[in-house]
Amino acid sequence: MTKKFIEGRRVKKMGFLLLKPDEIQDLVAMREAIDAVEKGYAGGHEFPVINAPRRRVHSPAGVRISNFPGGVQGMGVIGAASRAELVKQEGSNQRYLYREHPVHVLNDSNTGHLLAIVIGEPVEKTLGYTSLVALRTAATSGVGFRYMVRRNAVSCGLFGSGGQAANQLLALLTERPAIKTVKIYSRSAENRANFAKKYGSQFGVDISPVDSPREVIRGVDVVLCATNTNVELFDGNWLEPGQHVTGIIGGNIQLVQGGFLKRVRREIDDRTVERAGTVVTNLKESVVSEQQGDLYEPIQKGIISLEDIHELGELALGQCKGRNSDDEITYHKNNNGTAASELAIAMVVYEKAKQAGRGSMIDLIDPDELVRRYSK
Amino acid sequence: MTRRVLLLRPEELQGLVSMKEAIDIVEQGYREAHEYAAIAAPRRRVHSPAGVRVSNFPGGVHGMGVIGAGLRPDRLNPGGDTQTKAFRGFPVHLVHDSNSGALLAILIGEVDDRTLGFTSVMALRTAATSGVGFRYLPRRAVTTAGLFGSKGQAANQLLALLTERPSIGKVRIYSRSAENRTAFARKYSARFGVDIEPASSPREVIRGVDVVLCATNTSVPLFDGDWLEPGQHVTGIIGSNVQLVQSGYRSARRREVDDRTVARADLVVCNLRESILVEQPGDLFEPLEKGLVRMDEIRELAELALGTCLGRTGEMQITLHKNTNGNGCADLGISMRAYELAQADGRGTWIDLPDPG
Repeated sequence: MTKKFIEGRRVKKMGFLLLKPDEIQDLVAMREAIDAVEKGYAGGHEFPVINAPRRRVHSPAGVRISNFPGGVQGMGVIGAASRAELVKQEGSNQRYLYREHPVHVLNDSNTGHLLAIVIGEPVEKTLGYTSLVALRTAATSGVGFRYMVRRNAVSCGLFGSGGQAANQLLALLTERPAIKTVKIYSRSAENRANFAKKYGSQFGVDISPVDSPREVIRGVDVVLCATNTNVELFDGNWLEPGQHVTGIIGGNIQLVQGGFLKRVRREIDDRTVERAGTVVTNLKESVVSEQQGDLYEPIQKGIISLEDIHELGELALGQCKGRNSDDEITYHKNNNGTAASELAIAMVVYEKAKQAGRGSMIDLIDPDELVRRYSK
Repeated sequence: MTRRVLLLRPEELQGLVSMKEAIDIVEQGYREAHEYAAIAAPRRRVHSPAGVRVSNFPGGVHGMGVIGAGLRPDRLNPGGDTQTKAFRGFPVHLVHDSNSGALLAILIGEVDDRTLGFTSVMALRTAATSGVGFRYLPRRAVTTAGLFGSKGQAANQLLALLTERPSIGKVRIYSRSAENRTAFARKYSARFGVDIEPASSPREVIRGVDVVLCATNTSVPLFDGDWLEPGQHVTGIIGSNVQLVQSGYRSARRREVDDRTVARADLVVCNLRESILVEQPGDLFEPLEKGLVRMDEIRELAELALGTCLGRTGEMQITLHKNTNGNGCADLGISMRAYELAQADGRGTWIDLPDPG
């Protein structure tokens, strides 16, 4: 806030930073995103009313607004993120005819002042745009990697070869730089070979394509699921002591209720849940409210109880260790995004952009001055 | 390829929308949302530990071609019998085309009634929402109103009532400050062309009037429901949310009308029943818990607009409209109108955006 003389009177002038899509491309490193998301989950666990669940509204023409209100007091931000999409249902598929740039409205969580409006998808600065909300999803997995993966991990098995896979792997390598050997499996031999070639050199690790799910799991320290599957990727009996598993598919029951899917989405099987010594999810509320198959079905079958599942915020606050021994199988179900993680990353974008002198500063009249001038 | 989005700032939103237009828009918004419920959502608030709260209003009015989200930050002073704000931020509205999803405009600031100008927070939308109730709930032959409050909300609420019931010629006003009520009476008597007379007690403001308007920032009931007379209509504007209590910011839910008023009312109308469950506003949630009224007896504003609730059906009925809280459809509808008028007037700044990939 600056002070200026306007019309002979000393008034407060307030302004905010407007950031457009081309101004936020190469700003945020994966580590910064993970740190921010961790603060978001820690703060949300301590003071839950700072966040609200995603709320969607729909127009009869198929436009959908997804609203994520929330904030991170540890970063001084509160506000909302909003995404608009034109969605068409074609048979059993959901297709996006238009995806608008997301808009993030950032207010100072101590004063309420508007800090910035950030228009566009935040991306990791070395990866650029890969796929939808890939940075936030990977940074959320990253908080799990920080606490759940063995310190001496050196190898990883990766399912998937798209943008989510690249971001997830980068998040793991950020938290466990000792990992040098990666096995990758995806259904297309060509895609996994391309991924191995491209990211092997970009990340400086040895990535070898393998031709079966069984092979990708054998002997690795970490199993990463980064696909768009609707069915289980592997048999939990294949898991080995000490392995950590991260999955990113949430899925909501409305997909089944709406007739888009015959059964709830799965990615990880019941046996994995049964064998895991520590099970962590982002928010337990979503497991119940969205009936997310990977945890909801095992709960219904009595394989695990909701009380045995921990939340990411507990890891961040030190209330759950994440891993109890080197032999334990650990499992993080990265079940969905939250306002805290959206706002956390948008706040990093804003801070970095400000440092880099990007964007347009838009002046705003002081509210008291507005009252003086416009009360009739 | 690029396209343009109109950025409108607070000064550029002044002098555009009239109360009559706003009431029509809010009515259309509620009516459409009742037929296509997925387009509306109740207000949802989030709170920081430092006392900043952000109120969120996603929603739209497809008949006007708009969908989007609004939000407003403010910072509250710790609670007491009235709620005051240490800071009130400008609302931000993201206005999208409800057919394509494209972002059309970003509105920063309050859209006010064009004759009243800036008065108070969300005063136009709040009054226009009451206005939909005024259209269906007060008796047709009303001539008098009793008004609690002497600030911006009071001016807007009274204007909404006079817009819907121009036969009203006499208004009695009470607020805690004698000076404020006198000043209000003088200013708005001339402005609205009605006879506004300060009253010296809450009891006095209710006696013999046709409509009782509550337009204060109280956190405790304003009057005793036993004072209400047959045929009176009551509108209250305090909603509040239980998260204020959950976060330790208040020790009890806010109230504005008492249990007796709810118990005596022949018809209770709220904006959205879903809000009663999400936010647990004291004026309706507490009587529900006590069994003074049942959820299926509380009607929604849209039912009035659609004619599925007849509103007042007898001259002697007491009717109550709890204007519980905002609904994104109302905010986005008014924002769309302001955007259209501002664009036609050549206001605002165009910003170029690349087409999303």
